[in-house]
Amino acid sequence: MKQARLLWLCLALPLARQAWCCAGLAVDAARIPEGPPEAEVLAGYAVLRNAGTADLSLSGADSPDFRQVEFHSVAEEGGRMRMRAEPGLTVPAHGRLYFAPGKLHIMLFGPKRGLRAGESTLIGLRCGASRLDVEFKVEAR
Amino acid sequence: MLTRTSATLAQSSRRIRALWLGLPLLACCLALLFGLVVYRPGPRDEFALRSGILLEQPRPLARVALVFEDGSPLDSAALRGRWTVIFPGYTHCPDACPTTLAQLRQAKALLSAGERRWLRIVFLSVDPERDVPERLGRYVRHFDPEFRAATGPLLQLESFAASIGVVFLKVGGPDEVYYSVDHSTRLALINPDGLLAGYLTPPFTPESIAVDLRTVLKGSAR
Repeated sequence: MKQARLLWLCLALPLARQAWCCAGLAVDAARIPEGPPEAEVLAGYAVLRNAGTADLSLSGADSPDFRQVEFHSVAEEGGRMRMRAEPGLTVPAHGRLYFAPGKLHIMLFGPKRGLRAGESTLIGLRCGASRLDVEFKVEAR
Repeated sequence: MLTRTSATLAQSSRRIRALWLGLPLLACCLALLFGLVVYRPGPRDEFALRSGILLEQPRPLARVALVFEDGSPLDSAALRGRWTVIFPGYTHCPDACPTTLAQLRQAKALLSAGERRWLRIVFLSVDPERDVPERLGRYVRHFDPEFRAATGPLLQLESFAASIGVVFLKVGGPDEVYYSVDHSTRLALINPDGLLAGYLTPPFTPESIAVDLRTVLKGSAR
């Protein structure tokens, strides 16, 4: 509902205001599993849908509740779990990008406040010059 | 009279021949039947894990000075008496580690109280720089109040990890604080004699972990 409204806003706003949205991008199932009180890093998961006809490049992300936000992939290689930062990701035209456990996550460094289950936080996804603020719900694990 | 005797003789020799052929056959059938009745799968079959392996010969662990979250030493004496699952990881790992810890908690809940009594779960931090023992304790207790955690000086940790078949490697992050540590994903199984007995290997589900833990716990209860 909120995403649909945002999308509508994107289309309705004059060109000059489009810097505030990633046209055609919608986000579902945005969630952060609750971390232990000690957690210095958390992971965000979501499904990104690109309704547009052009590929959408994600250049980064940020959040008022975290010191630093990145995209990280994890892969098992030779029995070892490797985690790597992904500087940029692409949501294909008419396609989806899955941030899912064991594959890809939004890496949330240094929480500025204790986020407990039931609370939520905003994460801004940057698509070049524009951005989309998405509400992520903190869920009990 | 004479002809009758020879006929009887011929008849009895046929019977003897039938007996000669029939007896071994009967013996075979009886042996097969006996085998089917008394056969029990050997220990190896009973120990087959769904998602992991058990070593034919359990191996001793490196003798090093690692400590539990409460400061007590993690040595072979401390690991005796129960089966221990050692899970290598670190608290700055946001994806795989908490997922596996949550799965271990769920797997434990699938076991009976009697089975849980023979089980100990230890989160081994491969990031001793950032994971000091007290911090580790609070971290694992978030998942389960009975979970233990341990770590130690890097060199000691490396030799201990090697003895349980675990490798890890620090990888630079965006800055000094946020580096990551590549690490083995398998869980080491330590038997109640304090010896490395095998591994649980991913992909994990709470059910697969519980089934395999039940297998090893049953083996030790005999």
